[in-house]
Amino acid sequence: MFTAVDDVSLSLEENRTIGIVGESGSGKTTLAKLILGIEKPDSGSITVAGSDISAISAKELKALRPKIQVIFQDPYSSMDPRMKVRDIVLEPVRINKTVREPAKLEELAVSLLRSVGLGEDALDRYPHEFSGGQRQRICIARALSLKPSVIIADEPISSLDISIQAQIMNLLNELKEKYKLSYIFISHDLSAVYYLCDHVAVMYKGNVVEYARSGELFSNTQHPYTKLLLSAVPDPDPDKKSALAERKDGNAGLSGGTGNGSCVFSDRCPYAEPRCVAGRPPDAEIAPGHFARCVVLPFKK
Amino acid sequence: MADKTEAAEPILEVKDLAVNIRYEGRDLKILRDISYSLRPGRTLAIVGESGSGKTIGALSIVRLLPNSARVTAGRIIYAGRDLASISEEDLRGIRGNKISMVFQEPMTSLNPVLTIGKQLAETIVEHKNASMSDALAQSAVLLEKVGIRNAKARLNDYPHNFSGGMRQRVMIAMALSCGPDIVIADEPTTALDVTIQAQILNLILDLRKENRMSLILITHNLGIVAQNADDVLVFYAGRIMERAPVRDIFKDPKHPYTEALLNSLPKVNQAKEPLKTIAGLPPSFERAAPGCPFQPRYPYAFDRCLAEEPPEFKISPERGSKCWLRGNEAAKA
Repeated sequence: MFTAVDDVSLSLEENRTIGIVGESGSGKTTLAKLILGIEKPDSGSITVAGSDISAISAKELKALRPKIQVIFQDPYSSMDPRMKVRDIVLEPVRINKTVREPAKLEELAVSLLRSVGLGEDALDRYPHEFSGGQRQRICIARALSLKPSVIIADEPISSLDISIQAQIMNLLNELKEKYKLSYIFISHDLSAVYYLCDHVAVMYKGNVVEYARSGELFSNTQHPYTKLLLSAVPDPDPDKKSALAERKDGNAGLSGGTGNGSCVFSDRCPYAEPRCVAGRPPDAEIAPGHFARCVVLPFKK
Repeated sequence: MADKTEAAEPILEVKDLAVNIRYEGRDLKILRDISYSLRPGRTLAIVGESGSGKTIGALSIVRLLPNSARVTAGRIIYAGRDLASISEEDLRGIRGNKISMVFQEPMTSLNPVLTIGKQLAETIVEHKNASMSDALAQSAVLLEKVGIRNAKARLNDYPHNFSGGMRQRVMIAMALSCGPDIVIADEPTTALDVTIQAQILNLILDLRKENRMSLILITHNLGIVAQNADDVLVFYAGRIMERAPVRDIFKDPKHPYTEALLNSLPKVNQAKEPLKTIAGLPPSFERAAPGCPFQPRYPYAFDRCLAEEPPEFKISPERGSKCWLRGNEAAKA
């Protein structure tokens, strides 16, 4: 038993994008499932449009679900290969019965595809007939069908070619403006996160270790794990050689651990001190709107 | 980043390589006019998007082609022999031994029902005529070398007992086990977390230096190219559109496709304007249209681009570009 998501507090403002950055085991996917209502939290609350989705009835949750939609990493496995595109993008609408007349449904399908840059001719085709980028557009169209307020995008571009990534990032921004959407953008791609997000939360072993406006996070990095992550991303500039900012031996001689016992990063941290295992570092506001769970680095001069 | 290797003699020379594939009863050209050389101790990055032919371009060196594909022209010169025309038996003596591979998905490249030790030792027994016990001893040393602790004990573990990053280290150990001259790494870190990716790339580069090997690194990640490569080949639609030393590719690209790729990257700490994208899609291999394959997606293409495919123009001894824009600048290659 371990804590997948540990004492995480975040808020998302209307028409803004928050980035959740983390590697495997960070808890970012569990967090997404909690927000979608697929998993129930053991403690705490998740408030969407004024309602705590962990505390309402199944019927009330069902009514709220259309407001939060999701796009996944692999556009192919998130669509039924035996369904035509029309049926894929209309499926949520049919299940929720938000539109019933066949003529109106057809109109909606065409308009959804158009908003993601695809033509009517796509309607009668199957997912396998499209490229990766086009499939992701279809998934985005599907996510828009219930007129959501929030879209959770879980690594939506990492499986795509880089020129297509650029197209999809532009599309996501356009749709955000057009439909006043709010996004939760989960990714390990820091340059995409910088580009798309207003705020960023960095997760490690179930904790948010740092949170700030995206510009601030990159220019004034305060948590050792965030520093490690940033140093690991290869810079597409051959004149700027990067070096991985971690301990070579990966062990500070401290036991490291999870939860309230100590800082979750202490066993790998180059700045770790004995007080790092005395208890979990509090979420300290080290600069306006900039939080970090570290008792050492933000206070070094 | 480049080693100060004295040898100017390339360790591998690919000349005018062409590969066809049989698809739905037709013979399609998937690679054409592929020419490049690899110098000892250098890292050559092969960059391209899906369908560019970059993987086939590298794996064809050791004839790791799907059954429907075959080399139709060209030569692959290694150690004085043409790998495109030697027998399968002779090639098997080179593959995994003098020229070895690291693939993208370690879980599917490793046999799940054999121990790591057995799989590592297998390669050594096969190519070095060693006894199993000697091979196992060497395997333990190799695992230590790639950063796996308690190596001797871990020889008895199975692939599923290792994390993704550790499995990739095992693959690297396997690729190094016979002291190869060339390692071909096909997207070796794509499936891994970014910090593990950095560790694995550092490991590959350190070992390359230590063992004075050459590395062919296939990737679509331009950051990885910038940080690790000495020379770069940019693939598009089965051709090399541009080849140059790494700094030139990033600072002074000489092909519209290379420029377009560089422009589609979001850059940290720069203004958040819409990203410049490349309109359209790469050409399908099934339709052989005349002219430059990139022309439909390039807004400044002129008549010659539509009518005739450009040859490679040599901009310098180390640089080439398949673009009519370079026609005035240099002699034909």
